[in-house]
Amino acid sequence: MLSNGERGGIAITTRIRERTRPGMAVSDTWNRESAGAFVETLFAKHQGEIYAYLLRMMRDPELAADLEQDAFIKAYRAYDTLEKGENARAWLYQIAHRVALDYIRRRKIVRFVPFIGEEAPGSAPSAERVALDVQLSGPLERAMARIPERQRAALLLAEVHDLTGLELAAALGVSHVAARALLTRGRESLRQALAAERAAEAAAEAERDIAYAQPRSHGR
Amino acid sequence: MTLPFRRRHNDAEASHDRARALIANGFTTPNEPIDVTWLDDHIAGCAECAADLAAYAADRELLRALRDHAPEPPRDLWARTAAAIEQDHARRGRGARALRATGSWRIGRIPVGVASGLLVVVVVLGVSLAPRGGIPLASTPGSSQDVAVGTPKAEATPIGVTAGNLAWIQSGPDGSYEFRRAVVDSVCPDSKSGCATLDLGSTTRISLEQPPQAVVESPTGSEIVVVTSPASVGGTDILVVSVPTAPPVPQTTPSAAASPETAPPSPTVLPSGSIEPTVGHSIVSGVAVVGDTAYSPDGKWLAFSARQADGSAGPDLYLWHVGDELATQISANHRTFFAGWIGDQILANVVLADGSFHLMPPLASIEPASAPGSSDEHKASPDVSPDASTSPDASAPLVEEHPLAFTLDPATRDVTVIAAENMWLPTVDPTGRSVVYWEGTLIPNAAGTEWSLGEGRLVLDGWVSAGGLAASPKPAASPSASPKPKPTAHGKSSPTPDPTSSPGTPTVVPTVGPAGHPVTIAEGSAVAFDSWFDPTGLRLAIWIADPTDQTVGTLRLIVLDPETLQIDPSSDPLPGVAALRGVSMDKGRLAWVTPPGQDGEGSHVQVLGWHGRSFGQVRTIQADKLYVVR
Repeated sequence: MLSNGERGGIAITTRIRERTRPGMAVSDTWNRESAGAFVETLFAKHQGEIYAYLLRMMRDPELAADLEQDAFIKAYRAYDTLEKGENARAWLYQIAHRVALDYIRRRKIVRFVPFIGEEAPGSAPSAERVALDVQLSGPLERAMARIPERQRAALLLAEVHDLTGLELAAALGVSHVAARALLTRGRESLRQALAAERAAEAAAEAERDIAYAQPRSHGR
Repeated sequence: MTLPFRRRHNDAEASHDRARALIANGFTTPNEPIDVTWLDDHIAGCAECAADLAAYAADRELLRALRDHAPEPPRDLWARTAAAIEQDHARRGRGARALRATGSWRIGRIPVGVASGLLVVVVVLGVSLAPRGGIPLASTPGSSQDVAVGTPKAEATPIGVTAGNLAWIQSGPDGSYEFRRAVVDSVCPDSKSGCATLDLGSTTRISLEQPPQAVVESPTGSEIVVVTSPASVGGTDILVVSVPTAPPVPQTTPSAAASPETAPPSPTVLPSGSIEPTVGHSIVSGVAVVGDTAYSPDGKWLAFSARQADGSAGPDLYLWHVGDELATQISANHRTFFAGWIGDQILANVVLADGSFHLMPPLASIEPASAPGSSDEHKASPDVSPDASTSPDASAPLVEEHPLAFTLDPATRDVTVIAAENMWLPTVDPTGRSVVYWEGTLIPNAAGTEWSLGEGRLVLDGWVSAGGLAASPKPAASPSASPKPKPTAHGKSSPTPDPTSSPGTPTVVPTVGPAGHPVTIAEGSAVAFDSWFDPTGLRLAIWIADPTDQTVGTLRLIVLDPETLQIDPSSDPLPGVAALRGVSMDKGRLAWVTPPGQDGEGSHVQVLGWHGRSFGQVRTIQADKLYVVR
């Protein structure tokens, strides 16, 4: 059994692969009870951070929960691909990351626009929405949404979820050098996006100030 | 270290780029000493780069501050995940014995914290299910808790609805097809517990050589139209099949809050129909039906668009007058798409390649026409020969083209152009107050026979019909006499009549069309979508195809505020579920077919029913090859 959550200094070569496909028998080496216990332990230990990562990537609480569920199902199917000594946490992040990217790829074709922002005057936003806004608010939220997904993922994993360089590479499914380059580009993208968001916010505020300053010529 | 750009030391801009890259990299791993020295020197003489350094540091701190906020996952997430794994496991061929042999996925093995969370969920759910002032499951703003699908083993209180009859086709045990009806008079907040399934109904066996791809019921309920899937050769058929008329549904006031003692609703079983398969008659064959097929509200007409089965030409509009032998081809430009009905008028699109707009000259009376491929009319008649002005030029570069919407009177063939630019496949609600459509361009294939959606968005807008539809008495007699509508960049056609137009040309009426205040429902590059309003015009179902498999998509129900006709964000009863193409929307209910493999099961006809703001679901038993009747 793996020591879940152990970190650092481990060469990571994990490749997630589907152990089973519909209609295929599960390998004899695959043990259901071990898989169940493994995923249950993994879930208890990492569900919060995986959810947080997916929420910050997707900015949709329901979707984040759905994707986390998908991620743990995949972990259950593929648990025996995690070789002894490998980092279960990074492995789990890798699964979650791929689930998220896969969803984003599909959603890019067309997606429903959330009702958020179209709330009727006076209606209270949901508690989840409020919480989400607190965590990732204003210019930072919009800036993060503007940068490429892989760069966003690299930034979140490295800066918020505190993955080491090797873990980051494993989670992103790229080489250590590529992960570092992705992170570097992500920082630059975030700097530019934040600067643009702040400039836009300042311009909007200036416009509002001008509008308020103008005398009201209509109405009684 | 490796930098993501080529060093050009003599280039000042490259120096700044290098500085920024080194700064960014320095937050990840220490830079090489030589790079550190160079960077320090550069920053000392570069105020801009010094500012960048400060910005990087500030941005990083902003990002790292998120560590202090740990969002809580849903408390029932483990229960959901465990159940999904269990079902996934069962679906992959492991027997029930294996499931019983281990308790590792049972609730009892859930960690204490999660289990306590589950207990809270169950208690909250139980409280929420209790009747409240006669209205159970009052909507919670911003939530979708009205439909608590997936929560395991919750006791559900049925919700009375006036959904009436629901019909579907499923394959029988011998491979034949059965037309079934059942009455939906109540639903449960949780579709998977409490409510019985709609597993029985009146059954009529029908004879189909090919599986259906769409089934439409006539407003009278005495016949259904089956659009068959394309055969290997010969295209599709549209068959009209007589079916037993559904008995009237008792008009009882739905119980908004059934008492807790109320037994789970059982389906009303209608008497079985004939034993021998009913054979339909074909009104058109040898074509490929494109898009929707629909009866007029009065049940006198059936309209659809179809193209040649061999793909040699684009689609044209077809009409079938109920009772006639065959459908009639109405347009001849191979660019016309049926969108729906608006009252007694056909709503359709034509794709403008060069601004030309041309329909067949109207016939003096509705003459039945032979189906293309089954007679020589299509090839012999000059009226229906391909329009040279719009023939595809395979060598022409692919460019975006623009749809134009128009209405057509099926009896007189009078045409009225709708004053809106890039309005594609509009659906106007039955009360004539709202419209949903794709606002965007179209991209033709190389042959100019098929179009895919270009850039655009799916929007909801008000519908303006004041003044009525000003159809011209006599449409253009020839393509060359057809005027070019003049849509403007603001989405409204010029109301000024074209001085070059001849009498009887399609007319642009500025008072008919979208109100001009579109609200985006979906955006991106869609591959396909469908939309339906319920009879009140206050429930809107949107289905968007999966990009990898257009038979499957995501279905969402949108609730409109009765006062403003805008989206009611406080009610989101069906945020998005997987559904096969083909949805039935009627009074008080939305029905669809779930894709096989959902939750480890086969397909069901799933029904979302409602009464006021209370929503619930019920479904049929699992079956193969299910097709919901629209």
